Amino acid sequence: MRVDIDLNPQEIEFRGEFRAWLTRNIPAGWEPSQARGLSHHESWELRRDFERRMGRDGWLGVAWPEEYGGRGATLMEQVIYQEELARAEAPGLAGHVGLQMVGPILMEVGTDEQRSRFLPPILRGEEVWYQGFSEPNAGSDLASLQTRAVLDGDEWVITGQKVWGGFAEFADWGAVLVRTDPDVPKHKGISFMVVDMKSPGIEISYIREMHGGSNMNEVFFDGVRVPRDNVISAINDGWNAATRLLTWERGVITLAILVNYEIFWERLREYARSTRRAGRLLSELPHVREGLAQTYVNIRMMKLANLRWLAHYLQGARPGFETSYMKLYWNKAHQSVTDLALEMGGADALELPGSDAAPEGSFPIEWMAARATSILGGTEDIQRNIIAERIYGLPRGN
Amino acid sequence: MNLELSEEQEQLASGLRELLVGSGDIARVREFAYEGGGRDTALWEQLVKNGWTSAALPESAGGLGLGFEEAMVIAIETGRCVLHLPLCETLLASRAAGRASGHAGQGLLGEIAEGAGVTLAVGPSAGGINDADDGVRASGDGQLSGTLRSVPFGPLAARCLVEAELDKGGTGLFALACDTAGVEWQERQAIDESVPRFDLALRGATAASLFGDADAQSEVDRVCDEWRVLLAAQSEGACRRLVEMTADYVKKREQFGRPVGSNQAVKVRVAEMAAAVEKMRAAIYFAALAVERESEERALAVAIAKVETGVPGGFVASQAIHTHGAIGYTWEQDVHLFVKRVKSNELLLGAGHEMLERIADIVVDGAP
Repeated sequence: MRVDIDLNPQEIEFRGEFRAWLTRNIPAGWEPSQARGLSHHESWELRRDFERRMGRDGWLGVAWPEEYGGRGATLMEQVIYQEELARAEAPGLAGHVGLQMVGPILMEVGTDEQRSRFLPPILRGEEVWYQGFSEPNAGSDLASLQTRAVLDGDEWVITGQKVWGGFAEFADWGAVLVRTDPDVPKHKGISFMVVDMKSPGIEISYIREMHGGSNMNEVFFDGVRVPRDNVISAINDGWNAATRLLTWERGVITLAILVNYEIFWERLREYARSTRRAGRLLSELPHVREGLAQTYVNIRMMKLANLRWLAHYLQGARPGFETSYMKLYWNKAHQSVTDLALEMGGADALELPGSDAAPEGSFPIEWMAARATSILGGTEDIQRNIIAERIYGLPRGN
Repeated sequence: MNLELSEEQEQLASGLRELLVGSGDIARVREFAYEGGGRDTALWEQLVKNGWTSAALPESAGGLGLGFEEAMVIAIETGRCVLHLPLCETLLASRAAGRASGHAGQGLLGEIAEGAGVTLAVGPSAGGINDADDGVRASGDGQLSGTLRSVPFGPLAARCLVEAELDKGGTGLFALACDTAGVEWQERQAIDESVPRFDLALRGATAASLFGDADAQSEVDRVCDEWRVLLAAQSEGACRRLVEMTADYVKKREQFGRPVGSNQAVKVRVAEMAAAVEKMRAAIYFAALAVERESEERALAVAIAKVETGVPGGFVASQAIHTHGAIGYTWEQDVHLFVKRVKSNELLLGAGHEMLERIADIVVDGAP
């Protein structure tokens, strides 16, 4: 017997059904080793096609209520869904901004017209959304964003710059935070707008990341015109509308992400059991054994801590500041296991993957990717502030 | 419990907390354990009267019949106030006696029901507290001889469970009266004075075997694993209280005209302490569940609980001292009482690195 949250028969059936679907539908050519060789466009086409098939067979937006075309999946089923996607090493969902954020926000605060226009194509995997939140000078302090929107007749005119969002070039719609009133406290002058990403005045470039690839965009808005009705929720209520769901997704998502680390850790173990250094197996060396044990504990503890809070949510509690702990454990699990990978790979892990697809070929890429973990989705430092200030009541600010 | 406490378990925790805080909390620990107040029979009797010492006895033996999850809940509370009495050890002895068949087990259950405190002298083969000794041997008629070091509480308890090598080979587990003929206790100076430690010398002392002449090695291993979980739970309770004390302190203490807790460097320390403690909580729940449900993952879960409360426990302890500033290093401030308990528990029955090797055996080599 394993200690875990026990699944009921319905959940077990849900898992089996989705797992079987994935087995039949993961696109050929998507195996992790091959996928790295794909161009950005090729990778996009594979994802797009895969997501349309998911939509066709009802596997997008499983958490959405049935009245909006979803499956009304329970929280546990959402976890299972994300875990299965990760376990199958399926392409990351290009539509996640629409599915996880825009859709649920529209359900809560959108108009009937907005819901009927935007929700169905998200669910069919046909329209993809870009998230335009961060700016060069508004990162952790997102509310200080400066991209302006000014009303001109029946249209808003947007000018400014967004950064760090992905898929901008392929996206149909942008969910963009803009300043509509510069004369009130910063959180109170922000609106949440829907922007047609093919509009004149939008210019998109790519940011090259430290591993050489490019997944994130800079998006420049130069007098981009948006219909007056394209505001989600009330004017100047954008901050509330956009941030209310940010903590909600973390519990489910982190449980799924750690499946990737479990898979990576198992690869490391196999590497240790099959690789010799100076005549000895890596798995016999004390520092490697201790490293594998410690990273196993880090990953297992990330899971257990998440399951503990999930137990609260399953009983109806709303996620709160404890999601900040999850982010810290997530960083630790990811960074420590990739640190160990480099240490084990030694000089072999200093080379980028070549055509030989040696196991250590993925180590430096994974290690570099893990450097982003403590920054994305709210930096480690912000999480620590939240824990100290919101949970333990230390004085806010300096 | 499904990685979270039930309402009844929460009530159990608050019940014990009220009793311990009401009876003087840390001031009482100082009075009896650190300032020579002697044996605290009054508090022990209160624990007996309210059913805490017999919590793990079967209902048929006059106890509450509570399981291991509840023992863990109790252990957390004993850590929160660095309790200076052998409550956790008595719970573990109750469980071992409950698993035993025959008169010896029944006898011990009866004694615990009447208020006897029990301590534990087990673990040489599991490594940790008694490595340096020659160990204890049992003759065919149940006479124990030999020495063991560093037995917690020693003669402050009425009974002691002793692991001994059997004449015919194998391991036995014996119930010994702490004041019987042939038993000698020598007190050591432990850093954690709330758990006084004694060397035990046995010269033909009569004791009752809980498992007859059967090899009880698996029972001894089980007692040690359960003990590890309760030590880890105690450390979690102590560490959580350290975080609370530290947060309170940095909110009140002012320098440069503002609370020191308004500095981000200080917030980072408090947040990292808190993050360590929340992870400990998940680890001890996991371990308690694994023990309670007879999981195949028991050894792994126990080792993880020990690892998570080990080095991270030392981290929380050190940060608590540091963040209190110079006052945190003094005898007057309560911080050191918790620090000493956490550090002791880290080292007892296998420190972090030893437990990591145990984990590596399981997850790298696939050992059972």
